[in-house]
Amino acid sequence: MQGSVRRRGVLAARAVSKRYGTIVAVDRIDLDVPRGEVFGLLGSNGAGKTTLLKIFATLLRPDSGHATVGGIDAVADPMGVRRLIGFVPETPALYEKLTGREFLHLVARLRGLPAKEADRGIQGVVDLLHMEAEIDREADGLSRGMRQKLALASAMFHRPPVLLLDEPTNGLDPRFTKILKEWLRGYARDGNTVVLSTHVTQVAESVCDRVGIVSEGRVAALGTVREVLSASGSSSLEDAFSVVVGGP
Amino acid sequence: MRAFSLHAADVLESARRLGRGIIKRKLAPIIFAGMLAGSLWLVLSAAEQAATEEVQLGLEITPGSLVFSAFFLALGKGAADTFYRMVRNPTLVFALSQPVRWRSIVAAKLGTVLSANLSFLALCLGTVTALILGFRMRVPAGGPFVPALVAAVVAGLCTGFAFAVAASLSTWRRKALALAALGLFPAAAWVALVQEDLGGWGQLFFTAILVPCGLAVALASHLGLSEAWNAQAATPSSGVTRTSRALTAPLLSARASALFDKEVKTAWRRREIVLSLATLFFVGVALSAVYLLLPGPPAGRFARFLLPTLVMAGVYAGAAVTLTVRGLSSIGGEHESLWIVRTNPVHGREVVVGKAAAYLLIVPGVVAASLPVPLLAGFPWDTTVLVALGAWTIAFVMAAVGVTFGTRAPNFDRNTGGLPDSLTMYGVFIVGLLACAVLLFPMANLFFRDRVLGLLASVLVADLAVLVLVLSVRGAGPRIDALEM
Repeated sequence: MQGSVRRRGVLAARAVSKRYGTIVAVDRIDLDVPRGEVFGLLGSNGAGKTTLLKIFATLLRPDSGHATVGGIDAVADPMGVRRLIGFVPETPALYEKLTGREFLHLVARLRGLPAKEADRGIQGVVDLLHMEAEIDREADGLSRGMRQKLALASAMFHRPPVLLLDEPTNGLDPRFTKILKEWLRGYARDGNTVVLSTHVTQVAESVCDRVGIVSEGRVAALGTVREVLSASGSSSLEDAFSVVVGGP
Repeated sequence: MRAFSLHAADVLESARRLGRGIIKRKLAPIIFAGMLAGSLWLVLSAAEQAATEEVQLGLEITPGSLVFSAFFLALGKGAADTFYRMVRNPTLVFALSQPVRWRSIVAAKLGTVLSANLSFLALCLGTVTALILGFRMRVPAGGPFVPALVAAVVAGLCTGFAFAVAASLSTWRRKALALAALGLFPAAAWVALVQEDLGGWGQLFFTAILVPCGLAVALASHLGLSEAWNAQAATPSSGVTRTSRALTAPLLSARASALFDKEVKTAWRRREIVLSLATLFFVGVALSAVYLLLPGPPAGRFARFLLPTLVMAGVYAGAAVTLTVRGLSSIGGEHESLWIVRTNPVHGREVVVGKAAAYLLIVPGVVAASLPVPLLAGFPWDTTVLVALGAWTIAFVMAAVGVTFGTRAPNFDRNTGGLPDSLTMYGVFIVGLLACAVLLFPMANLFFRDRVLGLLASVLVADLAVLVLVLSVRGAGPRIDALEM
């Protein structure tokens, strides 16, 4: 089993498809993301990036095909998958009347973390993201950026082997974008896996080991940034994106 | 014209949601039609009986008091609809930022609130007419009663609309001033319809005057729209700083206990617990007032049932508003934050257990609301215990009904705060009423034949009500696991 997981990658999609009525959001996608990699999903609006991330996060079930995380099928054993992941959605709605610290402790209790371990993990991300001044405020009084940091903190503090982040830099100022990118690189070096979707090609260029450009529900280009650039004959990922997706 | 465009967009959105709901649950309209007709038939039968000689409760239920009740209910419904559709709706920013007068936005939203509720009223009145003609019922509701009732509903909805804006202003002082001014409407309605009892044509004349006044204050509420919307939907609150201890609930798993902790803290900080207890206190006071207004002990064939039934009716209303409504919005109300439990290792059942356990904190309040009348009337201890167990049963059944329907068909429409549409709500309340009646009437009947057996049966029924809730929670868990978002 472990060998098979290593061959297939920590995250694996096999002919995964998902439709919303007549719209094909994800069309028979095959994908492998190995351990220790930061993988970026790039694509235009509605290309299928978020749908694919949500399938791995067990929020959506594929109509056909299989998605596995750590060798566990996301449909057959969603609880097993959830134990392995930390997830941040594109627009993270929080429990508005809980403080940041209460929210993080709730996640710790849901994951069955011992109190001391939870405290240590929470303090670590609070320090990393400079949240100390606002961590004890109710979420409905937090700014967009602070809410994003809190959602990121909830996915990061328990150090899951797989992080699934949908537009993780949304609402973050350049300083915290830099801190987050450095942290993600280090986290992957520790043997964990990060999959993020982003519109910001500079983020993908600076942090991702490999990228996949998703267009109309399919992976239209896949490889390291250099491989994608040379395949598309472009000098920047932004140009490569336009070439692959077929835009201006 | 712009108001009409905004109103048309609202109607189109609502119609599509309703259409999608009907396609998903094809039997629902048939079941709903049956329940609507059945419940209205029961009300008409009771009115027919009351008009003859069978029931002599001694309460003065006059056409004027019925018209006032319709006005008052419409006021509450209009306020709730307006609050979610307009005042607390973040998507209103798209209308507010267009070159549209705010008076037009208010007119559009008022049109939506009026058309949705008046269509329901039209459906009820049409069904009532068909029942009266079909069953040749002799209901004393002729002459100007129905036009007065419709006018009272329109006036109530308009006043409720203005109430929602007034109650959402940014400072307590401004809220109090605006609400005090609007308080003239229900006060005048009380005086004219109940205290002075103007009679049929007098009621029609009064409500006909109330309609344009109500429309005027509703349209004038555009003056407070910006302030109310900013206070409720746009500006984040100051974000109170807190530190708290984690609550743990006995008998629950660690995860369910964590969710219970979150539910209780949220309900407390949103003042939902205080408001629920205040509602139940009001129910207890209202029941006591009704009892004290009775000219003498009830007489007639059903006399011994009347006071317990009156208490149970009040308790049912209180439980429906405090427990069923919270259950109904349990999933729909937090759709966007469901990713938190769905991406952590928690079973859907644990989510519902945590929520239901938090709702049950209200149950002692429901039981307490049932006690003033038995204590004032000097019921024997066994009858008082019966009433308390009946209230307990109603509380658990109504919570179960809310949880079942709230997870079976969650409504993710921001315009309703996660609550289902009016038609579904009506159906759910009727289902709850039927379930309570099925459990309580045999028990009460047995009690009045054999008190010991009746008490034992009431304990059994109270246990059954707990079982109903447990089963509804078990059934709800897999539905949450199956939700896609």
